[in-house]
Amino acid sequence: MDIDIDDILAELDRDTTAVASSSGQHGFLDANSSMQHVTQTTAFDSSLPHANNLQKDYSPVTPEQDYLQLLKHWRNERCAPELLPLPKLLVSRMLKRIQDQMEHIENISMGFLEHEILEKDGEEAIGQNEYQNNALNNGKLPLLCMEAELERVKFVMRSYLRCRLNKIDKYSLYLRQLGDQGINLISLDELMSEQELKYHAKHSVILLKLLNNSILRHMPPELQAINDTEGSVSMIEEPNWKKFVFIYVNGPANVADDPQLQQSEDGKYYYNITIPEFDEIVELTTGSIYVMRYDIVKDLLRDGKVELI
Amino acid sequence: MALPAHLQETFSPEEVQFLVEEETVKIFPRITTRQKRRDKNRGAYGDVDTKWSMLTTENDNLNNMVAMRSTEVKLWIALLLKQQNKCSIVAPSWLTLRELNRKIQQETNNSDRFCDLPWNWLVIANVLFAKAADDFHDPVHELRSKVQDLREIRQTKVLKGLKQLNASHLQLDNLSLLEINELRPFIVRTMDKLREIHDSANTDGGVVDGDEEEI
Repeated sequence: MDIDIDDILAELDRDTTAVASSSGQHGFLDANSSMQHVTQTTAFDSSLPHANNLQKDYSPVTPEQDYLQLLKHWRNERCAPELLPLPKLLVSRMLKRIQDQMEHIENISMGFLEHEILEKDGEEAIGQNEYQNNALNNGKLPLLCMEAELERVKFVMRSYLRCRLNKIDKYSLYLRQLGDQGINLISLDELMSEQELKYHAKHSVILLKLLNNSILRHMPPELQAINDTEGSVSMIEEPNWKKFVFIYVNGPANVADDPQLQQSEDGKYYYNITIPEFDEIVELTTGSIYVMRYDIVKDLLRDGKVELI
Repeated sequence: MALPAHLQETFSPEEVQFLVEEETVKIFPRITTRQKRRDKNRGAYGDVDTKWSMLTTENDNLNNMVAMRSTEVKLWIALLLKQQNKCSIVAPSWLTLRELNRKIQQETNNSDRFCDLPWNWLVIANVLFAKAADDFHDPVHELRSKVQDLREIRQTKVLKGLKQLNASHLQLDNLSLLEINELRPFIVRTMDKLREIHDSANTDGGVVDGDEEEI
């Protein structure tokens, strides 16, 4: 008779004192009661948010995690047709780390300089010569890597922000309309950083001035508006919501607590989405790649359940 | 424009390589960075040794390297070390003649789907052939030809799949990032046009369709 004790082991692995003290007693139970215990925990899992799920939400902020998040945002921003909300906290953390790392590298290099001066003074013992070289070689290598890494992080950051500026240029009238109406779901300060807002405002003023002075002055007054939507062609360029994008379905962080997720007969998890124009229902299986219309997967993208590639 | 036109709807191949370089690989270091417990040289120069303190990766692996004991680091660090002759890179398990032969068999047997190679296989193979050709157990020229075979088989499948382009969606499991990237402009534009045609047909002449959709 096979007894599945995986979740008991998982409980033992978890280092929360409250759980450990209760599960410690289950370690030596006979088969029967441990079976009961298993069924109890599974029932408990499905009905109440378990400690596990709570821990998922508060994953600790580490530099590695932040960098992976930044890469993900960068990829999404590059492929999405609209301007995505800026992860402000993430960006500010990243910028601060870049600053600190630059100072750190400078300090280390200063140390090297001092060291070389010492060497020139010939203050070293002969016995330490070998160790000396070794230490220096090892010392230069981390420095090289740190500098290379700094460049890489800066590159991602720069590429990300430039991509956003490009979209702000492109949709400047549309964004202005969003700001004026004030009825939309998302406010502009959530969408953009302070610098981006400043750029957006000033850039549109400059552009308007140019157009006004060169062409629009000579138009009849009813044709002078730059953002006319009444005419034959709307002047405000909206993002192409129906653009096709490549998506990768990565699924939720935790399978248990996602109401949208469904399980098929062969044990695979998938999301059901409908394409209204075709009355089609498509199953997005986790772990596969689709070419899909952006407006259909927008909500899944917001929740981080799919990624653009 | 803030972003060059050729980057506005897709990634450049260099950027794809950049993304792949963030993956971890196994290496055999040729240097030792692990500090001895009792450092005899805790004298004037004891604090000279620079520690790796990275922004984006774990430092532990880098600060505890022991020569010829395998460890895992990010690919770009491995390439840097390799350039300095400070390590040798262990090829991933799928990059052996036997595995590649199996994959080619799978590809030829299932003509309707791609076999499950990692999403970065093409880039990894090219990078390692260029930078770490002396670290393979199998002869590199044979590996190269196998990778080329796989690539060609998959390309013919892609060409077959392009007949399926439609206005609703596609499913392309196990297609690697580089392959997606070279197809992206073509597929996206074509499908966008198909969708526009479909939509305009529905709105102009398809009054009946419109009614049905409202119901």
